[in-house]
Amino acid sequence: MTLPLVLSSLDLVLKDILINEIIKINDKSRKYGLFLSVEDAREIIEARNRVLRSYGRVELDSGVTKKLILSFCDSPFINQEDYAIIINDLQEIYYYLKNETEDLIGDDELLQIMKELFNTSCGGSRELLAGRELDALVRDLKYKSLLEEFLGEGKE
Amino acid sequence: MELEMKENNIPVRKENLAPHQYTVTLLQEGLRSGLISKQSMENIQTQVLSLFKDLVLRYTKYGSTSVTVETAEKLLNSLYFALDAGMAAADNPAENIALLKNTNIREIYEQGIAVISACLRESEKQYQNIRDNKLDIPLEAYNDTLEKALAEFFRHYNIVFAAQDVPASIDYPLLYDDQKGKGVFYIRQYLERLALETEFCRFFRREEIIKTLENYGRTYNIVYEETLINVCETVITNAVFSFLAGNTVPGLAISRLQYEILSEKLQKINPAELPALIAASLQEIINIYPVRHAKLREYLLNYQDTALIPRILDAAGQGNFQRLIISEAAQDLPDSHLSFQEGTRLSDERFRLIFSYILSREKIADKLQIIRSSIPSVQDLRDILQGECLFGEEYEALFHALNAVDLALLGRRVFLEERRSGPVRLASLLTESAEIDKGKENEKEWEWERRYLGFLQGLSRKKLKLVERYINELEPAENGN
Repeated sequence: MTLPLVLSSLDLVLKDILINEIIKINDKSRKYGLFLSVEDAREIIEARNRVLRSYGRVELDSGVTKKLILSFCDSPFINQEDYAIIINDLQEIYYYLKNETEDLIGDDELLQIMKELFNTSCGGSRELLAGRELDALVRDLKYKSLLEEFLGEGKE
Repeated sequence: MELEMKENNIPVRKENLAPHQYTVTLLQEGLRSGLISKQSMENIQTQVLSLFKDLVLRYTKYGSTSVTVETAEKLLNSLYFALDAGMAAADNPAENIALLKNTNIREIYEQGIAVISACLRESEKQYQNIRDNKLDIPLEAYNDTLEKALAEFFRHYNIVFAAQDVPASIDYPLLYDDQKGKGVFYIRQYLERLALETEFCRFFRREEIIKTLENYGRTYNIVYEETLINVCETVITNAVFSFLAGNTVPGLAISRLQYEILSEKLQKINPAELPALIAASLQEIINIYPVRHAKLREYLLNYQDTALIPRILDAAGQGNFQRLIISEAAQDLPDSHLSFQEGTRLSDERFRLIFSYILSREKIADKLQIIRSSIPSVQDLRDILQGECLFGEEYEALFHALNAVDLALLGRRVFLEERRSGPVRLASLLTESAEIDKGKENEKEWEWERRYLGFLQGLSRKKLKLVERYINELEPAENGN
């Protein structure tokens, strides 16, 4: 079972499970006036798979997509009309960041940072989130990591 | 019942099983032969997937469910490496297929991790033994591999996340090396073979080994200390010829006269008789030498059949044994440490002739050949360089062709001023030079000197240290430098 085989069998296994789990989130999001149809859920999963492939990542669990929807469904900046589109954009930003931060930030912490910035300084703008705010975060993190490396070498 | 019949009737083709991808190929073969049903395969794959998920989570310290494709591949390979190890106890493919079908895959994985751990511990002990008995010879690759690379391997080897990797650069070549081996199993076979080779070499006197290596360097015009030579190969080859030359065992030295006689004798022998002669000679050495392990005996005989005899037949075919039998005649050849020497200068007329010839050549290979063959001294080489008959990247090609001593001889000129204030420290001088370069006011007068500095900046730290050592330690016998 090589990696491509693992991935294709994962896609098959996860797809149906994930559609059901996404639909279940509607129970919570309805009170914020948001819900996703089965078609939306399918599109979100397909977008997730496309993004993972394009960013060269492998995910063995559907947990992050679920957590992302749960995190953002109470955002005052999301309306029903663009709910699914925003979730797809946020997924893309999330996986882009996982690569850019070289996996230094765990899933939950990264989602928390994204939510915080989206709901405050970005005022719900995905462009600002992906551009100004998260670029600064990546820069800071890389600087910190370089500094630690430098200080670590100094100690040797 | 149907499955049982298939199990009895369709054999697994062993030739379809790759030793270094055993589980993957075994599963494929199991499916092909019908020993594994589609349903069993799905069950096995689900279990592998579950193990893989756990491994990813452990790798990310339970902080992330996704990893890059490269990391995923590395982790999956590590997982299969452990499964391969877990099944190694049963040599029979059918038994292993039954194991995969009937045992929890996690159990096989854990058994594999235990096997890898045990192999690591055993290899570390073996390494300490070899290190304690290491040969006292100035071969850089040998010493670095033993002192640094192998130590690094044991420091960085990761059983769980990268068991298939060899996180160290093992440069010293063995007589035979199974390069397809992976992880700690590669290191185990490397150490086993190195132990055998070390044991054999220890039978000979250190001084004789070093003398033989020095003569080897002269014969091949190389700095033997910096070259990837297998010392056992040099020793075994010369031991055979030394015995044939009439010396007692253990001996390696072959005098000029012995070489002449032996070479003549070998040329007169019918090539078809050579293998038997060599085999008898090696057998005699093995009989006298206290070969404790049957493994060592087998190892030496294998070398004889696969490499030594073909090399001898090749040399006989060419009618020249000079590069195979390392004798004291090599001492007539120039020391490769000083392929360019101080002192002997070209006459003005000859210098002009060579200079014009180099200038007329278009190919750098032609230029290098004439420099190598016709320029005896480093002063002449510097004059040639100052004549600017090389262009652009040709300088780099020339510096590449020089050994550390030649580079140091040039360096003594380049750093003439700096040497007046004491030993040179190349790393700091090169940093200063790079700073000056940025300011576009390189202080070195000649283009070759500036190119030389650029070339040194690209050298490894190890090679740079060696050049620095020679710059500081070479005898100041030259004129004006």
